[in-house]
Amino acid sequence: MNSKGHTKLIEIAEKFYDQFIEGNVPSMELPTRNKSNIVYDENLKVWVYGEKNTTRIANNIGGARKLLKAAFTIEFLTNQLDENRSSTLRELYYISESWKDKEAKFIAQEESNQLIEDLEIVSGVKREDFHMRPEESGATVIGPLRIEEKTRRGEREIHCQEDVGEGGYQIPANTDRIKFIDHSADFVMAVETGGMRDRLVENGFDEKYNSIIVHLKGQPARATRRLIKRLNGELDLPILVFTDGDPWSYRIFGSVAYGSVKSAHLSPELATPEAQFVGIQPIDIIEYDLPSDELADADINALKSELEDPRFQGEYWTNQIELQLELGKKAEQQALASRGLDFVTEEYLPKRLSEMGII
Amino acid sequence: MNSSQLKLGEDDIAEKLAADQRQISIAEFFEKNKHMLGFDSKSRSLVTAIKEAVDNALDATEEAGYLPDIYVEIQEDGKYYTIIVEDNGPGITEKQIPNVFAKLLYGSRFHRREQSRGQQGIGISSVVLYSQMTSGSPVKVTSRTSSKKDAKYFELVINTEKNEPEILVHKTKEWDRPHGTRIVFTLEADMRSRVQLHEYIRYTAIANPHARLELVEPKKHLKFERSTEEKPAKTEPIRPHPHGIQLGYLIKMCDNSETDAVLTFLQEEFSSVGKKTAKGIINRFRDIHYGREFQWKIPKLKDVENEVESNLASKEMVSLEMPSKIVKRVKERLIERDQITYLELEDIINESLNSIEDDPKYKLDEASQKIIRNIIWSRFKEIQIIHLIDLINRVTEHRKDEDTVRSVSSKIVRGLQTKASMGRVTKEKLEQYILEVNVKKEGNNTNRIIGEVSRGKVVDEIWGELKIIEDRVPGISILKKNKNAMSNLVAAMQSTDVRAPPVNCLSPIGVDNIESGLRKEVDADFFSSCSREAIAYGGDPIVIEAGLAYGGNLEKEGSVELVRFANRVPLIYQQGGCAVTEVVKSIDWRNYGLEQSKGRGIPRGPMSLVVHIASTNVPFTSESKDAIANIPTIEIEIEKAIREISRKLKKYLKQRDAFQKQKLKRDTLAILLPKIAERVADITDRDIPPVELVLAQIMGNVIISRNKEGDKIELTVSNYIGKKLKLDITEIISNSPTGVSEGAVVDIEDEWFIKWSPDIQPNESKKLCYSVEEGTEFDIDIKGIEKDKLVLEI
Repeated sequence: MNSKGHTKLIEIAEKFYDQFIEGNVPSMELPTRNKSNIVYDENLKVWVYGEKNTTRIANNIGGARKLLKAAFTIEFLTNQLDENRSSTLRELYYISESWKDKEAKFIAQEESNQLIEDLEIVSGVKREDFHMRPEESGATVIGPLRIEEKTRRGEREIHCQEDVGEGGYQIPANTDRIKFIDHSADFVMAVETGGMRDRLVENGFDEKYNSIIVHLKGQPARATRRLIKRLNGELDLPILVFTDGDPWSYRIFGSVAYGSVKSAHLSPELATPEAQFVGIQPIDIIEYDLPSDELADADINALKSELEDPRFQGEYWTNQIELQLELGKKAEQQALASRGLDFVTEEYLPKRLSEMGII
Repeated sequence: MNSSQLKLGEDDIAEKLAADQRQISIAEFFEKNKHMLGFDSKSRSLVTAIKEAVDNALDATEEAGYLPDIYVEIQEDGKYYTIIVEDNGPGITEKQIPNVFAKLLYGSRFHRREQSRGQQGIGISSVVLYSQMTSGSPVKVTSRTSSKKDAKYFELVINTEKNEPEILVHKTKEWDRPHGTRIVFTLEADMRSRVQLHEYIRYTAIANPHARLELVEPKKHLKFERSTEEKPAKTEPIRPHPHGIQLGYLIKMCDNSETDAVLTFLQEEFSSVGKKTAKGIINRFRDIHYGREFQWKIPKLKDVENEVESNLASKEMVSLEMPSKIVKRVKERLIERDQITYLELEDIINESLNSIEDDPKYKLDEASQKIIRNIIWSRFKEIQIIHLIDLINRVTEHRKDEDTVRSVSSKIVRGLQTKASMGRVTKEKLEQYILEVNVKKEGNNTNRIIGEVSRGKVVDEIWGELKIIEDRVPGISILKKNKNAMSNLVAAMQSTDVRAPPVNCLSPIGVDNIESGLRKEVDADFFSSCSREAIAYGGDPIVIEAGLAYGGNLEKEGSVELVRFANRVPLIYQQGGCAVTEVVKSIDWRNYGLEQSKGRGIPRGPMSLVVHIASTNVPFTSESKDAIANIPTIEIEIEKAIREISRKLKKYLKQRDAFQKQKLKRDTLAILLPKIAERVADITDRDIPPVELVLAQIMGNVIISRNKEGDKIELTVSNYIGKKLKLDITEIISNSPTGVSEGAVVDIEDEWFIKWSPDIQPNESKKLCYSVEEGTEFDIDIKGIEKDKLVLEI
């Protein structure tokens, strides 16, 4: 019995086949995947692709190569699904080296990643259903949450506090293999940096405040974003995002809350518009007299473009960004340590969370 | 001269110097200055000597109307080289041979305005001079003027002190050529300039495709056959062109003129001047020489009588009626005129004053006459000044200072109301009046002076209102004594539009022959050439021609090969100092598809660029005739010629690139599409689909496929070429067909030809059907479409 992913991939190949037979130039049409074609969906409150389309068509050398690579990739994926195996995006890039046709070889991993995204969009199937996963390991979770994971060795029930070490539970690439059993958490704390995540765990923040701590590891992987979305959607837990105080970290928050340019076709499944930003806020730099760095030109430009960004409209963000531009400073999460190692768990977060009405 | 010399006293020095001074002959002069003639080194001397001899040989054969057949031989002779140059020209008469070869500045072409390779009469005799200086050997000349006469043989040297030939041997000789000249000279030289020598010979072959050239070296034998039997057009000497005339030459021409009338003189002594142009020159001359005449507006002479009366009241006049009468008379004479010249008004005033002179009791004294005259004139001046103020304010963009404008206006008007000017003014003088006012006003605000632009406008406007003078221009005999008039005549000739000089004095290579010369000597993919219309410079017509060869076996790396010609003679040396090189370097060749760093300098690429300048007097930078002088008129023309051929190159390169791109696309897609087809067939587990339809559609092809179903044959013709198509399709089969759709069948010896001529609209297909028994052999022939656009699936 073929999976949905398998069926959809074969359909793409059939379409090319028919185009040959009819004397039509093989092609596939996709939404244009760049910033100019990302629109904010007012209903879903997330980023989705707009109406601009790009056609991958074999009437030019570049287009024909792309379709050849697509054909090879489809063949590879259908075989992988037949054998019930999986591979990472990086592996796909290297596997193309072994294809007998050198024309089909990927030039850079960026190209193979993009092709997988193309196939996702055309087929309407997520790459997880092609058994493709990102090579970066998923982030970790720690907190009062009991789950059941479908593994190769059968179903396992895991409590994300009691059954795991300090490192926490590692989120699998395909989060749909996880089922939530029960929990006693009050909220989810998503943390950008590993250092701060470890500080919270060491200080027992998860236990003291009944919270699930999710490590974002910088710009969060799809699995991490999907898990956060499910924690919010299925368990109705408030999501709090705790990052550095600079424009790039605000974008991390933006991608958790509203989605990203590259995976805007999946925004409804990945973005959590209910997520809230904890800090570091520009005002904290003044309030707590945090050690800070000067804004670089790139930072300033990024802040200015955020002022135009629909995700950061509203009084709160406008005020914070303008304040930061005025200050000309940025600060890391760990800057809080300048006031003592317990400061973040004893004072900063409790104060912010009670202000926000979480605790 | 320094101070110590001054102390000696100038007379003493002059005496001393005079003791050493004597006339030196031209031969002695060049003996000391041989570099001026291209003999600056041993290696170059070899090239120069051969070049002079070959140029002469080509000139002589062409002049006589023969197709040149020139043989050059170099013999190594220990320390010396012996050079033999032989031509099939008309030969030289016995009497002239000594002068031609052994007397400098003896030539037939020096005084002629006609294109030829040699011009100065220095070339070949300087080779003789150099040979005798370095090897001590005489020049050996064999020449035969006709098969009916014996060949003459001379051995000659130049007596340098006298610049006269000395004949060492003089006899008749057997020679197998019916006519022609053979010269042999021995000189000190070396073969380090072989590259340049070969360049000279090869380039000569390019520029003279009608010539056959042969070069025999001790170890090499080069032969250049002619590519055309077409002889260069015969040239005719021409008269000088007005645009190039110089004062001294004009005076000389006036001295020799047979007519005294300027109009006839211009028409007969100059080229390109007809009656209309001659009149134009004379009108220009009048404008420049005499200026134009002011047209005075007529003022209302109201109350002039009263003013005259009150001014003359102190005088003891018999009656004051008289002045009033005079004024009244003047007024009467002015009725119904709206303007008047200075002389006309003076006449009227004088006549009015004299009209009452008959009666002595009414006689007015000089002073009173002057008062009357001045009062009348002052009225004229007044309105004229107001008119000029209006005019200046009208034509200047920014309003000028009132005081300045008034000063300028009154200066001009006053200047014109003088006996000396007679109411006439030249354009130059008008400008000068304004400048004089400017000088006074300078240092102040800019609106207080009339700047260059405004000045030009004001002068032009006033000039346009002035009356053209129609005075008779005096005859040549009078004119030539007036240096100022002569220089104005030169200015008039140079500033009048005259059509380009006639080109029958020139023999350009011609568009086709430049290309055939290049094709003969250069293996390239693309050629283009042009031959521009003649322009005039210095009274001489100049024709610029250019040609280029691109691609093929030409060197891909490195600079473009630049080949310069003057009157069909290749210029081998001093490329860097030549106007042609300057022009080439100044062009941004990147626009034409060549590489060039920063858009300046000699471009790089597989190209030979040829530039030919043909003229009755090529302006060289020096006597050795290596480089063209930097003269803007000529440089502009060279640039136009180069750009003209380069535009064609650009077009070619663009097409070539587009073609190559298209070919690459076709080739690559022809590989990629079947691979995609194979893959998708594999995935979907079906037969591999055909790709030809898709490929034809992408590449704009015509696709013809033959389908068989039993005995039914169907040819499908699909047109993806993007335009309407008319094809001739012939199906050749080994059995007789039946049921042929709209085609004609011809049976020739057991072969059947079915002919269709379908019209197919773009993106449409047509089916051609017939039936034939199974096992029939097929062959198809298609006309009306290029092979590479046709895809056959049969």
